[in-house]
Amino acid sequence: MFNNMRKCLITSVRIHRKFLIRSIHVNILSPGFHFSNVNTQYSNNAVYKRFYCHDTIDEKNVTSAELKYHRQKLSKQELDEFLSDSDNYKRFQILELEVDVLRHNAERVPKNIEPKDWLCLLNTRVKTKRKKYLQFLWRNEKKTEHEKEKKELKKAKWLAEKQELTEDTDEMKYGLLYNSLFLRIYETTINHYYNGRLIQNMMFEPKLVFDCGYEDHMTKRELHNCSKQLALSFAHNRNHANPLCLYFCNFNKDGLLKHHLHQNIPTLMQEDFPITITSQSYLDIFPKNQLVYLTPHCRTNLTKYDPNMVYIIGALVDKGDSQPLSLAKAKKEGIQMAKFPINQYLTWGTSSSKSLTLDQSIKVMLDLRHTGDWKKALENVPTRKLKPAREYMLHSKLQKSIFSKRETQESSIQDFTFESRKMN
Amino acid sequence: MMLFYKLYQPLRSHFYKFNINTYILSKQSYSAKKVVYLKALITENVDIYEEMKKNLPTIEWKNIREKILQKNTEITPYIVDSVIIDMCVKYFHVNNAIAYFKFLRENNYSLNAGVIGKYLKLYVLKQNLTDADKIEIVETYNDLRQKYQYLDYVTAEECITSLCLTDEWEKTQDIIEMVKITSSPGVVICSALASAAFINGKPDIAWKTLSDIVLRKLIPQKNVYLSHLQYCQLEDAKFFNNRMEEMFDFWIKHSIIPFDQIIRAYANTAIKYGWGNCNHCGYFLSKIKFSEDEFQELAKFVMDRIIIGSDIYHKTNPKELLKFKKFIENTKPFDVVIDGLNLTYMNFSAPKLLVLINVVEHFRKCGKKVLVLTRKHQKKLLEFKHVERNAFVFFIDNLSADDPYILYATMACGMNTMFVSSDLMREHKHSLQDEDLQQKFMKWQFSHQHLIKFSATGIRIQDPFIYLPIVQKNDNCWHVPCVTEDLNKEILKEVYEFSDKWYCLKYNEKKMY
Repeated sequence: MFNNMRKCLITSVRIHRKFLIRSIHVNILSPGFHFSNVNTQYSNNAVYKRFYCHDTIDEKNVTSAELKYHRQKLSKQELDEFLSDSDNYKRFQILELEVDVLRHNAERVPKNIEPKDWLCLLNTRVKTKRKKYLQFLWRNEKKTEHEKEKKELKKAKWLAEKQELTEDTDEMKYGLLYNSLFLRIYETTINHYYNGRLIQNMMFEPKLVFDCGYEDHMTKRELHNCSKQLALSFAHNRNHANPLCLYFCNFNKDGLLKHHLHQNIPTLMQEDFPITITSQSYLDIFPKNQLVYLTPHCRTNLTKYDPNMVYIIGALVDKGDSQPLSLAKAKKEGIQMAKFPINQYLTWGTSSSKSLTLDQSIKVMLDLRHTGDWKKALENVPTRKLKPAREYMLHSKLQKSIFSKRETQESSIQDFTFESRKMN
Repeated sequence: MMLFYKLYQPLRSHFYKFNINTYILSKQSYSAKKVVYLKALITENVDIYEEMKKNLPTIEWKNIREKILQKNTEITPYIVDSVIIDMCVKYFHVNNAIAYFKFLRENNYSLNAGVIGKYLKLYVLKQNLTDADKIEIVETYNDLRQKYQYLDYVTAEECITSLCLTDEWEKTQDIIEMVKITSSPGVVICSALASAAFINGKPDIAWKTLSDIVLRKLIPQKNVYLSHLQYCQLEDAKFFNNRMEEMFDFWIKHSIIPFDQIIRAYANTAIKYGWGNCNHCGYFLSKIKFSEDEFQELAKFVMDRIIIGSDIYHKTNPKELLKFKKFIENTKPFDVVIDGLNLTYMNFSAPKLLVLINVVEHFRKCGKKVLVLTRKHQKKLLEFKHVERNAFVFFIDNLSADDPYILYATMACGMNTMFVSSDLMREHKHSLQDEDLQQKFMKWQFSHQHLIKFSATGIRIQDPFIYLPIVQKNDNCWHVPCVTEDLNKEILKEVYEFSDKWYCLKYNEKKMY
């Protein structure tokens, strides 16, 4: 316990030192190191984070490739353990035969199947579901194959071009062979710049909370999507002209969500990563009357962005049956609720769902705060969900289904290339 | 002026049909599930394909196989055999496909389980099997089992369907046990086994497998019924009657509504055995009855699973629920419970609340005690005073769901209370989870729900069903509703329409003696 506290103090001091270097904040930070309001709030954050990071220090400095390799090894172990049981092994043999038969029947089956996919297949009890999963793997495999091919083509082309340029033709050559006067700005530099900016913002900007406590209500696929959306929303926030300070509350550090999120952002567990991740609830961190839960199921519209309020977005992806989970939670905890005034500003297409993804909703919040204009903010809602696009889509679909036969016949005969038209 | 007329109108929600049809239309798109697209392959290799279709002894399979492998890069040695068989089968040259397989076997090509399975399936497609064919099936199967200790789902399915055509059909039960290790056997497997069991005179096995698939909400294939008909005709007329009624009882038990094609086949055969059409159709259907216990059980589960569910905050909150319960206790019993919100927002073109006011007045004139459930935000509307004058009103929180409260209020007032809503409550039926309960709920809903409909002349209030649209027997006369087959299969699981097609069969004893 004591050790832990000491560690926390050390890191918080270390972080503060980083700020002291920045000339802008010296004046604000140095006089009341422990007493200024802003400062205590920040050091609090550091402590939350430290407590949280305490166990996972070994995961701090890793690359995503290392993480992937590590996970592969783990799932291989798990598979071996699973197959040591004779019943399970029998099932595995049958499934192996099934995959083989499907492959011989010219179905879409990938060439090699990884341990984690075997585990998933072994846990699926329905044949069509397994077939679908195999198709999904096949599609992924094909995609990487095509990408590789394209890359090689590009490389060959580039090499040929280069050779042409370097060939000695007894003529004078101009140009700098892709060399530039300017220093190259590496991705790490860009990263440093953005992250540093976010750390500054953490002290002064309003907060936005992602409530990550819905892990039990999501399937594996949904969790995967959720983690991707969280990573995207972090990126959008970072690149925005006027970023907010992000909190991930109710975060389960052993859960699958963290697994995936860590895979997407390998630096997630580093102590200077500019998000506050905590297993605490937002109720423990902020006063209750400052909280507003954004949920589509409630009936009060959000009229304008209030910088004194802390807005909460439920990190929930529901593709199957959607229950009003965030509404129930906010009702139970007695927090204010609000929803985006979508009906006032947009004409929604029929039969498209009114749910937005996490990155879309944070974009709306960011733009709303930046411009104060709902029309501008709601431009982030994808147009395919709106009425004009929807009608257009239905129209073209109808036409396709009516004229599909005729079209296939015509397309085989007619040749629309420029040369053929010239011939005529 | 609004006109009300009450007519016995059996058809429930016409529009439901249309919705489904448009859905099918929009879903129509081509999706290739295989690596090779057969049609394109055939058009690209017309010469080879023509050679494939020739008379049997002259075909040089070796040439064809090599040509296809050379000409098409996407076809690997892995899939060439199954692709050739598929090409032959595409336009029903089954015998050529069989010949190709035999060529492979004689020349010692390595045969995969998938190809052997495909071969076995060819005999199912061939239909009129000779004894030699049957022996061939059994031998191929035995060879296959020697080669492979276990069978996978795809091969097992093909083994079962082909073996069921032979005398060794009882072997398939072992294969089904093996299938159960990885997945649950599907409709094709179970139907094949059931129909084989009927044909071979072992009804116990057939009924067991049949109820097995029906319980999983799957629809048995047609061949089961056809072979059941054959089984009915195995002995004399008395057996026929018993056996056919056995099937009708099965339909009652699982509330299955058969396809009209099937029931027509039954009716046509039944006429031979002295059955005739009855003249009194529609008059003697049995009324829907509920026992007190059954009703109480349903009411309890509606409370537990629909209103409270996994988290009471999803639909309401504890305080409100208590308040509502108290309100119902103090004011009950009502004759009619009205879904205020549903009636308000049904029709956007009519002025708000007009429908609701009219419906309330209508029931009021009939001398009924009316309860209207709505949300608090409707209190603001000026016209709502009209409603409050004529009926009891309970305002639910703006954030709570109203449908569960309507169900609860109706059930709490006893068996004779009806409710008015155009909502089919499918979501709530689903959250009952239990299959048996869902059926009971539907029965209750059929007999207690007034639907509101718009027509050219005004609003129509449709009365609840008095009869149940399922197979039933009254005084020696069977009434069998049926559906046409071109409807989407999905609808058959949930019938909210009173079938407009009925077959009525009566056994004429006079004719026989």
